[in-house]
Amino acid sequence: MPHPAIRQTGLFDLKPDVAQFWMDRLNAAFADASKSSGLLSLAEDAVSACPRDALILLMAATAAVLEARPERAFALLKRFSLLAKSPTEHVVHAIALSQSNRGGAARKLLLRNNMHTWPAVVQAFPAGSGRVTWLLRQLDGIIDDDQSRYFRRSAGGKTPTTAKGKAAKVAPKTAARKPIAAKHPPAAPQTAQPAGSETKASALPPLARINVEIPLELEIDLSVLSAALADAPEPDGGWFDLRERLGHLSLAQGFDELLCLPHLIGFEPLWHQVETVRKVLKQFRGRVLLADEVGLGKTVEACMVLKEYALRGMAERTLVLTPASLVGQWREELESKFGLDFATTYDPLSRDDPRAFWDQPHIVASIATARRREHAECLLARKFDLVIVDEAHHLRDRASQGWKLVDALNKRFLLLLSATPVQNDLIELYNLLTLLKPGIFKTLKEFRGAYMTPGKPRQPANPERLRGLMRDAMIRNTRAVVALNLPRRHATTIKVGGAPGEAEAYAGLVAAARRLVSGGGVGRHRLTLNHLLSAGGSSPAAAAAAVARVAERHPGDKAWTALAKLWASVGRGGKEAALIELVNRNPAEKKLVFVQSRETLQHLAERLAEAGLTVARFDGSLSGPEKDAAIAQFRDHAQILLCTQSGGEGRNIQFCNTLINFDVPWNPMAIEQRIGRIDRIGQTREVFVFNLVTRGTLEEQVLVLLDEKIAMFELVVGEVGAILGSLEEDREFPDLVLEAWLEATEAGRAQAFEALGLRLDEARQQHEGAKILDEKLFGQDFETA
Amino acid sequence: MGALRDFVADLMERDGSVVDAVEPDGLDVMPTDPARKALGWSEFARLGFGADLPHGAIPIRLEGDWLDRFGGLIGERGRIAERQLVLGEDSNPPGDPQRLIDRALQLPNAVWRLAGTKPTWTRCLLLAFRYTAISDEKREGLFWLGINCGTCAALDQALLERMRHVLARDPSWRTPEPGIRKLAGPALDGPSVSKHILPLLEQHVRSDLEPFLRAMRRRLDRDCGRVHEYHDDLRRSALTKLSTASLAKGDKAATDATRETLRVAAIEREYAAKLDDLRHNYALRVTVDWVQGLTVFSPVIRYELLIKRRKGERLVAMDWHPAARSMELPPSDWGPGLGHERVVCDDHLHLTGKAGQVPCPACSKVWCRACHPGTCPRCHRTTSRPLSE
Repeated sequence: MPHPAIRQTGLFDLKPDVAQFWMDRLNAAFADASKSSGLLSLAEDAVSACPRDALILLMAATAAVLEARPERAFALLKRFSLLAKSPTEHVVHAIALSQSNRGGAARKLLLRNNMHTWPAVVQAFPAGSGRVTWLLRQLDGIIDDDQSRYFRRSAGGKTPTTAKGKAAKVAPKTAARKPIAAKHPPAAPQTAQPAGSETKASALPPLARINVEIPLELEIDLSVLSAALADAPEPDGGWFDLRERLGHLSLAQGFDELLCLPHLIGFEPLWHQVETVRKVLKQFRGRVLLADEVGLGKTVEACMVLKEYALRGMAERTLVLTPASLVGQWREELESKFGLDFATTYDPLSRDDPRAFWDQPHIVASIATARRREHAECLLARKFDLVIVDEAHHLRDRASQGWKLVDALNKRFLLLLSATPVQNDLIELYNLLTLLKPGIFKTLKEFRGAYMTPGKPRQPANPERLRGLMRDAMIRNTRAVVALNLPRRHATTIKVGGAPGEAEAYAGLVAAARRLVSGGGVGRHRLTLNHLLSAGGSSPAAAAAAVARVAERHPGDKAWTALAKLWASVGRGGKEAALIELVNRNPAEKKLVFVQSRETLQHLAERLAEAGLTVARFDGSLSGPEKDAAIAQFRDHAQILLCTQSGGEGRNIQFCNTLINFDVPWNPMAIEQRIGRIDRIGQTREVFVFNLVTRGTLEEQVLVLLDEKIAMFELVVGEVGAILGSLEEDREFPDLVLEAWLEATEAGRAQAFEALGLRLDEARQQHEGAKILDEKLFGQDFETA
Repeated sequence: MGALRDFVADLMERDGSVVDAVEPDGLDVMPTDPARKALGWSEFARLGFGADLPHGAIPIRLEGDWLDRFGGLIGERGRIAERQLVLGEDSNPPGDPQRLIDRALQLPNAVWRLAGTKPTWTRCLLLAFRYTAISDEKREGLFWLGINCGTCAALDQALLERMRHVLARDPSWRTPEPGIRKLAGPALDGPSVSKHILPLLEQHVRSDLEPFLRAMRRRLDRDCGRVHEYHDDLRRSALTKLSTASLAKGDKAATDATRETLRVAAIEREYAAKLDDLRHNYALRVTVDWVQGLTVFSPVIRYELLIKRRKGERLVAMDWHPAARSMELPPSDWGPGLGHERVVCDDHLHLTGKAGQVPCPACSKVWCRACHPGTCPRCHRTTSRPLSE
């Protein structure tokens, strides 16, 4: 005979439920205004069940006054006062006093306890709205005992008059239960207001909030287990193993068990990210707008979805479309965290043989490149299992080439990523969601008619219905969902004058670089220029090495050799002394120092060691275990971790809260990546960022742009990408910097940098505006948790 | 998908079918009669698992009802099995058992003395359960629990995982020898297993679902806030009108005041009703089904401890598991028995977690839940069982 299922309710109830049971019964009895007897006997039962529950005692006292049994109320109130204190007790006490023909004492008691106004009394009375009429009669009795009619006075002592010139009568109010101090936090104090025509809605007692607990029912069926224990066990485990594997496969079938989790490299996804991935797979079936706030990991979520589909054999061909500035970051993220190898539009093959390039199964492409005709034709001829579009708000215009391309792509799953999907008006939302779920809003005309307020393109006409539809196509996690409250970040730029001879060497480098491209061929020399100027801004050691390499390639040009010698003669740069001074200001605090070149790293390591500082080194040449050892050394012993660009990627170094950019990359994404190493979830202390620049260098100009125009050091990690993406360029930011620098004249350069600054400023303003609009439109209604 | 293909190949072979691999990512199968019936295949079936199917192959995917069909073929087979744990050479007993036990057993109101030590064998019953939680969304999970039948102690998740890891590492499946069976003692019967496993199950499901519940609570709070805001606005508006009416004189004013009073009450009722709807919408129903069980015959070092409380004393056993190289949790006479602290009761020297000896919420009497399960001996009130320890 199988055992019946064991049914348990209230499994998760954490509060003692006996008191709650009686509270509910008493509340129900109080709510029934027609009930004038039996209240006290019910309350006495409650008191005997919960003799030490203060709230029950207070409600029992209330029942006593409701049945005009003041002597019993006094006894119960005395017991209550031994356990807790509450304004409510004074109201009940005053009524009991009044019922004992001691109206004066009742009035004084209420006055003494700031019960100046009827809202305060009504709010404190525990018997609810059903007893308001009765309460008002009792209050009138108290008032009639004293001609001052204090209830009609305001808190300030003024006597408000009505239109008829008469003091206001106590208006009937519903009771809002005042919490008891011992059990609940006290409610916010009410502003006393005159009762009468001047009574403002804000002074009225609010509707008492009712807490709702989630009812849980647990059904456990152990009958099959009991029966099976009597059976003969399987001797060799073959079927046992198959049953276990079937169990896991069936969980994977419903996406409850994510296959990708054991395949993630070097990081543990956050709970909301796992939830989001599950929902994308289960509920949204791979077509969704991921609109998490910046910094919550949209990229990680999208990559996890990609990995999951790949592991299940559901995504053999994938395409990631992103602004040009993010192509490299996507490729790196996919490779380093997910073990996925993607081709990018930076590969020469994309220019040399577009067909062969697009034939590759996994591609990260700049959307600007992809929408060019020669590439778009190839793309449209192919099928994709999964398409991811980052910064998808660039597809907001359905007349744009980008929107048309994504719309026309042959795709099964589509993930649109944007922290700010709506930038200007609701039509943009229509365009984005129509990509995901064609027909979701029917025609544009119908959408306008049904959901947009005429003349107010940002204001939905039918917000609830609109949200209802959007819930089928959009996820938006906010910081609130992960309780993400990153500590403050402080950024300081330290400008140093440079060592003797350093300025002269830098001027020589600039002149040589300009000479290199003076005859045209900027494109051919772009990398060289970039390399030289970055090295010049980094350290004399890096500059000497870079110039020497160029000199080797130009053996006939003696100027390069001379310049290399000049840089070598500089020896120590001005920033090195500044760094040592900075470290020594607070030697106990660990510092993460970023440099761009290995020459600078080597040189700095020697200088810092000379200065008596302990240094750990971390660069791309180290093996995995060596990198782990470097981080461990930094954590346990070293004062400084000297890193190249890859520093600490994926490793937990939040124990450090100070970062020093010894040199400044021109690419703000790289700076943001550096900051992201310590300013991330898990960092509990305030973060300090120091930038070291030599006056008169290109780095100084870059910092001015980034700090003054987009205030990048105040941005949440992830926001820079969104702002740069708004530049709508098919080029990366360093190229724009170099282009400005290449202007022939000083005035032209200043003008070009000014223009670039203006564009950045506009992009930032656009981003800020969109953030506010999206917050207003979506709020917390699309969270996974 | 490799895992699915391997599973199907192993299943068909186990069932007696002839299986051959074909490329790309496929299988040729000559199924047995029962397999043909359960799976709906003919005498020869070519199966395809990848995106590119072999010619003429039936596509087998996680989607669809294939897993149900394979489950049908397995039937009740593989529900219960037993296996002897084979240890490597690095299974020396601990050098300092006193220190080990000190860490594993914390007795705030009693003392213990080591009364004996012996190497022996025990039966560890490992049970897999699957839960399905349904509310406004569905969540499923699979987890393992374990108890040592020799000491009736719960196996904590770390020990359980290590034991399962050792089992998974060993490809051979050794059936327990008769001598070892005898040493390991008798198996627990169904009711005893239920008694020990039920509190563990409750605890585990609860902790597993906690993030899911937290998310639901957040959504519920948000919905409740919205409902409150709406009704509060309505109510304030009614109260303002009521306030105005109460200042005026005459029948109309009285009627208005009555109407507004009724309106306020109606708004409050509607607010409560809306919250009831929400409570109903968010109600979570969790069903737990047993999936399979494995009795592991495992070598242990058994420590017998004499526990002394006032004038009473009691002998309990605790095992050290060489497979996991860790001490198991102390036995518990009530509750899930997780955690290392045990409170000893005065009357029968029951060992329970702290929650087993908390005061009665109604009358404040401290009482042992193992002596008086569920009912306070003084006020006879039934209390819900606190689960966390």
